[in-house]
Amino acid sequence: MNTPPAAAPATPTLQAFGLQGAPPHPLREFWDYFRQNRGAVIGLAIVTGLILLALLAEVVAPHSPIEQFRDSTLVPPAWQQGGSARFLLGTDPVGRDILSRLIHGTRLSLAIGLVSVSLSLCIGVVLGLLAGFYRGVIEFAVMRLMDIMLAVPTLLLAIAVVAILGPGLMNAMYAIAIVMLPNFARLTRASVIGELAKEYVAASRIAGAGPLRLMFNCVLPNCLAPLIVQATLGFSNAVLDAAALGFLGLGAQPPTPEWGSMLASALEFIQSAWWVLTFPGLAILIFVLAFNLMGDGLRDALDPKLKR
Amino acid sequence: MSPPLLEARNLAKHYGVSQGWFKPRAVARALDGVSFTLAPGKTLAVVGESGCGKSTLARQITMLERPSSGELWMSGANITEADTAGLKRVRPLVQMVFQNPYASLNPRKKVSAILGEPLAINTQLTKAQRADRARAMMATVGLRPEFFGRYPHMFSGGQRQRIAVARALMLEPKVIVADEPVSALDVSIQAQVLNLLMDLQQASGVAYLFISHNLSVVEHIADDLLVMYLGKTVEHGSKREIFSRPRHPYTRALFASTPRIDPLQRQQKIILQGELPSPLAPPPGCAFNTRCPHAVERCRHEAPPLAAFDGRLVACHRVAEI
Amino acid sequence: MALLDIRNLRVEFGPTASPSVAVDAVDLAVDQGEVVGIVGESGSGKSVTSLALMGLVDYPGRVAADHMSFDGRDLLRMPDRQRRGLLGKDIAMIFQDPMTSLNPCFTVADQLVETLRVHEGGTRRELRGRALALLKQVEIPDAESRLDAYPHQLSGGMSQRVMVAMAIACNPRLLIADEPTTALDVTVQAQILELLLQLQRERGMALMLITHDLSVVAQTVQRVVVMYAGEVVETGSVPAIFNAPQHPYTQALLGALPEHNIGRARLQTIPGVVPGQYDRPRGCLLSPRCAYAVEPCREARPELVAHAHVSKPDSKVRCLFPLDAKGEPARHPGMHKAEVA
Repeated sequence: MNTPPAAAPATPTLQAFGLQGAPPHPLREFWDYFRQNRGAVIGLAIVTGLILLALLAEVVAPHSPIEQFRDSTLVPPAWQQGGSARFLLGTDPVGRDILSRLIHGTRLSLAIGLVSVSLSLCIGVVLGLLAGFYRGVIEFAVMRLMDIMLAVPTLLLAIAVVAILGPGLMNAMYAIAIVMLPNFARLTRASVIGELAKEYVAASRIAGAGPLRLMFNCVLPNCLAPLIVQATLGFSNAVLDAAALGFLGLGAQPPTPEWGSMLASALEFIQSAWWVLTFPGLAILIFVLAFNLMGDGLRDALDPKLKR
Repeated sequence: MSPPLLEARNLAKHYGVSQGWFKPRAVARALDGVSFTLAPGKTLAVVGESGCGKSTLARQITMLERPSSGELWMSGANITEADTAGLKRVRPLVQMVFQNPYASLNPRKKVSAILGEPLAINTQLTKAQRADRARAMMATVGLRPEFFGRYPHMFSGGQRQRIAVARALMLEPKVIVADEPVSALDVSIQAQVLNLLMDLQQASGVAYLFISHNLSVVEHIADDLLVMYLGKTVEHGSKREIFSRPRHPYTRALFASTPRIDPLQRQQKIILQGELPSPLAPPPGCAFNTRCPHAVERCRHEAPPLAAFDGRLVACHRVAEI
Repeated sequence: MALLDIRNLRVEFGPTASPSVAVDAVDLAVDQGEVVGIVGESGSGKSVTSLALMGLVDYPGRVAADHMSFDGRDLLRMPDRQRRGLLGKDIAMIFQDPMTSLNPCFTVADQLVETLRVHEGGTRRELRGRALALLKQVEIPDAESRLDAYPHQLSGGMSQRVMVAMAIACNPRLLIADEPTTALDVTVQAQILELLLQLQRERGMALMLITHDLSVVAQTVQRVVVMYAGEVVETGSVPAIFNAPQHPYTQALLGALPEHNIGRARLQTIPGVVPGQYDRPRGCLLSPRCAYAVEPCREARPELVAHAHVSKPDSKVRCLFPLDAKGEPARHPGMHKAEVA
């Protein structure tokens, strides 16, 4: 008797878990989870605003960030006595408009975050994959190197790298990338070891997948969630580190309107011209807070254990 | 007479287990000399409980690991020591279906990618050709075509197992190792998947190495039976022979412990004492002697050979008496 | 008087406007010293029922019932503090996966002693002595050395025995076992079931066994409750249910077992899937999949009643046309059992 294979479920509606039509696209599902976290959405809004500011800096900023108005040095913010609508947030000791510098500085901060995190992520992920896949001597070497890097205080490490490479914004970014490396490497290795034990990896092996395919095609996509979250938080860390380096004179050199160096050169004016110090500090605060909020929201939305 | 499709000769796998820096490395004999042959269109059921080595056996047969000793032959060719090129030729012939439908599919890949992967690795087909074959396979296993672009978490356990079966079939293997494929499924879904497996076997002549601890399922689907205990074969023969009259005390205990609905089918309860010994320290002599109700002095010193008795192979000194 | 009496239990999750109903209209009664089995597949609501009566359904789940009492005490309106005094003492529960039910950070002795101390108190030495006695009762070999073992050092069977020891520590009147042997090997399963029945006999405690394994139920319990999609569809004694099931679902479930298909090339299956949250039929929940369904079945939800023509007094079935002794629905002489495949 030739009977066809057991037919697919013939119910009029779909799936045992009862869906109306096609299940939502994963991005749509992710967005639904994400927007339930109010803080995360605010963070995202601010970050979007910052990105727009950075892209449209030339259009939005009232003045050039490096133009010095010799006759208007240390002008207070517009709402204070002595302030002027020409310089909404006041000017710095050499007469540059603080608002314009802050807006152009957004571009720099985002660039710092992007470059440092991307570099660190790429190298860290590869190291973590190698350590997790091959174990043994490779894992030992990579992980001990990471341990050594973690044992040194991050700022000292960054200073050491910049001292070798020379001061400058680009070198500061490299230094920050190196400093963040162990986090990504460890995170990747831990995820890889967890995923390797799962059966779908064995299934791919049995289908004939080689190590490269296994690493990048099968396992890595499943390790992305914690990496994405760490990367977002890494943005804010990068900016803080760049600010510290700039503060020490090892990062951005004048007249680059990087927020950290703006802080550095403004210390002496705490009492006399508080706006020179406060606004760059506030800018850093808002930037870091926005990215952290967004990162928290990302983690909650991407964590499969919290999925309802 | 043509050589058997798959033949295992005394397969053994030992794992070294670190016991710290100051103690010597212990050896876990997960698999200790298992042999069988498999013919096309037939099902060999491997029965045993956790720790008996059936999962290790599965890993050797699917060439995920090389055996510590023993040989694996396929259609008359020795594939035990195959190099990378040799493995690439042989892999498509042996595929696997796993136990856990929730862990055996890559959660980040759509069904189309999961089914297309074996083809992408082993053939030169274009993306469109792979998609066609994948869709055809979905129809064969009874999945609706609109599932093609979906992710695994959108499916029930039974549907995922169908996807897993479809994936195993993509390379048209000669042997499928099914490691407890229906244990995690509900009874009604279990029936559907078992029907599917049997239909596929009838249509394509694929041979199954069916690993299970559920004797009622085994009774339905198997042609031959191999009972394992602590890495060794204790009884091996046709299903009919073993089910009508199990000879080894462990096999008897397994049968007696299997719950049955029909009171007339139930056998005298043999409640085994104790627990499975650790594979790091197997008992001397017969591995089962610590729990066997019929053990005598000889069993504690001398390991019984696997010998023919009553139409099957049994490893027991006292098989003729009990 | 029944020890446990639940009437019209309903558990739902999600928004109040369109809730996801996990359990609906469930009546359950367990007498002193009775062994009851609750059988169902995934999505049947059997585990949620036991969690509801233990008060373990967390927000956002909502539990409602007409009546829910244990030994005459109202469980619905009981304050949390009183309920905590009840759980673990008079009602105890063991779960499916022994590896995750025990706290991995504490030894066996710590966990046993904790249960005893909360409900009964005593000095440390007394409690330890009682813990040892309990381990011996559940037939753990070499109990002395196991007292100080951590859960990861125990096998599945051992861990489950420790769970049983914790559950019976304070002499419960009712023991709920939720799939206690599903994760265990078949020989260990036989040992644990034997142990549970022995303890049940010795202590006269009621045992509620929740499982999807029909053969386990057939060998172990006295009375069976069959659940489907959150409702009770049939109850009755073991011989009644297994020899002459009245509900088509029970019949189909028994028919799908490999045991009942010996000699057949293909196993009988039930087409379709269990209704989910959005596609619950208006009428009988099984009607989209039932081989005998007719128009009246799709109109209204049948009640769970004992049918007069059936001679078994405690058998109830939720079906408009329950099956007779031959396995055919009553009052439909023209219908034949369809070959579902």
